[in-house]
Amino acid sequence: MLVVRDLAKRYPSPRGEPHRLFDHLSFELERGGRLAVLGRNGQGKSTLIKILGGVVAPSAGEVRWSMTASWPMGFGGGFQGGMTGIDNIRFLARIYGRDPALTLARVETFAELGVALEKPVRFYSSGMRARLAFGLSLAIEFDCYLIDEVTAVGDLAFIHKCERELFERRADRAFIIATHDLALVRRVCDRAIVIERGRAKMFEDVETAMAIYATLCEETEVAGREFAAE
Amino acid sequence: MTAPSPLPLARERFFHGDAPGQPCPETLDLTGLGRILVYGPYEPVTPGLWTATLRLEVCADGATRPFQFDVVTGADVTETRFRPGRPGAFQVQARHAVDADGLMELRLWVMKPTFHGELRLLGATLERGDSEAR
Repeated sequence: MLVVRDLAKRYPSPRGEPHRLFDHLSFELERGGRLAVLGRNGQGKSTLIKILGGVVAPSAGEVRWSMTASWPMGFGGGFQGGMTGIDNIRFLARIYGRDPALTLARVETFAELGVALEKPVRFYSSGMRARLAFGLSLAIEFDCYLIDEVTAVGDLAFIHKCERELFERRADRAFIIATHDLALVRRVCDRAIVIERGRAKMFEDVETAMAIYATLCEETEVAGREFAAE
Repeated sequence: MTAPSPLPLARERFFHGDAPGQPCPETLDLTGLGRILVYGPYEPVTPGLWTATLRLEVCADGATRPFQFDVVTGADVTETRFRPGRPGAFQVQARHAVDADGLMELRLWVMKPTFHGELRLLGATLERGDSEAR
């Protein structure tokens, strides 16, 4: 189970008032729960995923995990750049108490990185890092997967492969997915958080959350067009 | 002969769109899909021209939302669309022709999905005749 209580994230702002991403966000997620995080660019979706994954510290509140959670998939920042892909895999397998050889074999099969695995990770593109992070998360196996845009991992065929591995073969796991892909949300999620201008709200009905998110995007676009026309 | 004074309709006589049958709460949460926020009070009216007025208050987020005020008798509906534009108290008025004795329903809609905002129904009045024309 994941329990989030009164979570807040604020950044200092040159104008004095701190920039608030969200405040008083509370929710729970059971194993098997499917939660979408929706919001326009820059509203704090990725930051929320990083806070849940322990990569970024919250300004207030608590995140309590009683199930294993992946690092934010699609986020390749956890690798040691000087080490090869293979060494990173072995290193992380040992940290998580998994068999390094078996983990390596599973990542090699899934990530399709070929000989690139023998090169230091600092030479990887962001897409290659995302593939490595995805492959490792799947090889290690977690109770809950934190996903920041599945589309960050590359071509359409690979995205479909990730979605099959995650949402079909691991249908009993929990997921928290930050995304703009409403078709994916409709297909796999049963609740959604919408983040907008310093507020985060939980919606038990995904269709309502998607309609609100779509309206926010549409109104922003209209406002942008009007501003450009002036 | 003096004109009849407006008939006041207190908030308590209206119903909550999000909890049909329940009285209208003091503050309405606009968060959600486009929908009916408030309806009622099913006041008996006689044939003629009537003016219905809603007194409302919105917060800054609510002020940006599009609303619709319906006046309904039988199958006849008068629709008035508006957007408050700024926070605070204001009123919206609609004139509605009634053909036969019946019950009048007033409805307030928020017309688009809304992420955040609050609205208060401060009260309403019904007045026989065209109040703006007098």
